[in-house]
Amino acid sequence: MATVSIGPHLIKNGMRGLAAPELEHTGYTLELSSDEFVLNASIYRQIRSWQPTKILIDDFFVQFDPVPFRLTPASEIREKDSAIGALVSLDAVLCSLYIKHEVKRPIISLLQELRNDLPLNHCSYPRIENGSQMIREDLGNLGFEVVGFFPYGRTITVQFGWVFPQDRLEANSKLCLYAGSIEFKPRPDRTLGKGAWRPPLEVTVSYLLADWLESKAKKGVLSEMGVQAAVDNFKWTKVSLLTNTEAAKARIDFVRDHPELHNNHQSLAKALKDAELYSDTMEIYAIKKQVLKLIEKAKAQ
Amino acid sequence: MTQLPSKNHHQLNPQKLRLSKWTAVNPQEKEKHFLVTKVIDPEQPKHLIELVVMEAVLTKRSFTMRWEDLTDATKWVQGWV
Repeated sequence: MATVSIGPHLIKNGMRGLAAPELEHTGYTLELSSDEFVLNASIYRQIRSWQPTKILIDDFFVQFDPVPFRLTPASEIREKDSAIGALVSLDAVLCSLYIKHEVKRPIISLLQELRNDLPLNHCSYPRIENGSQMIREDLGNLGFEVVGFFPYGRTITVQFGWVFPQDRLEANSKLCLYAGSIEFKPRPDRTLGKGAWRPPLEVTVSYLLADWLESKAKKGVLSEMGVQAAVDNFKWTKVSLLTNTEAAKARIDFVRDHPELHNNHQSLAKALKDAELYSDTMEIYAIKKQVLKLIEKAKAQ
Repeated sequence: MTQLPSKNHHQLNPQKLRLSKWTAVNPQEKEKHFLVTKVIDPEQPKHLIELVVMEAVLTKRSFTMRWEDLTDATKWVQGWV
């Protein structure tokens, strides 16, 4: 593990215009120096031909060759070929640097500089109304906000973002960086349960932000308003309001009440799903695998 | 390893799924390419692996699903196509 004592920071390099098709100079170089290596890499912006004005954090790349330290294994998904050689995304490089080495400069200080110097104008999860009030106050003070809810089957995922200090007081600024999520499996009593952290893959600065958020959120992450919003955004179905024992009994009762379907497992599986006795994301083939046991139990009782 | 007989099913070993790439046959909300970011260990060691966490490459949205759903070639294609 190296100790990075100078940088990383951005230095103007005076380069402008296209470096290759769909690849533009940003006019900045990423520089850093450690006790084991130095890095001096021009930063390029990938121009999305179908959305040339949309600029996200993962549109910035550096040349792969000058990167003097090993990247996380998953970083290969953030590599791309170009007319000037192999590139890798800037945030994959930063993620690997901060994971594998001791970097004196905090990542949020660098991100603040990136926000000032690079023309970021878009993000995957824009800020939402009241997002800053849906998170515990101390986490909100660090720049974290709730940026979305994703109900899927018996779960609801609450997504977090980190807002650049420059944007926090700008009511109209929707820009932030994704900072991971928590997947809750709401209980029949309409509480969320503990939840499981779902950090992004270790190829972006979002991974670092998610790691930081999780380390600061030992006492929970959502405010009362956030908990209520998550509960309200969950799709409450019949099965989600049953305990496992109640759901198992309801399925057996349903099977007993429909003997005409006992010889057609496909139809019975579909009927069980239509009756909301399984989650809407449960595939028929998976229900079908349980049908025989349900029939046996229904007949035995 | 679970093997499902239909020609519409891939054969997979759930323990080797981490970082595997998948393409949704019917993409929702522009999310077409995915990665398996985590294979969730069963609660009891004697139980089989059931769930994996998928992450959309474009949006980084993640969700948990049964790994066996990936064997359905009408919904998932291995690799990024």
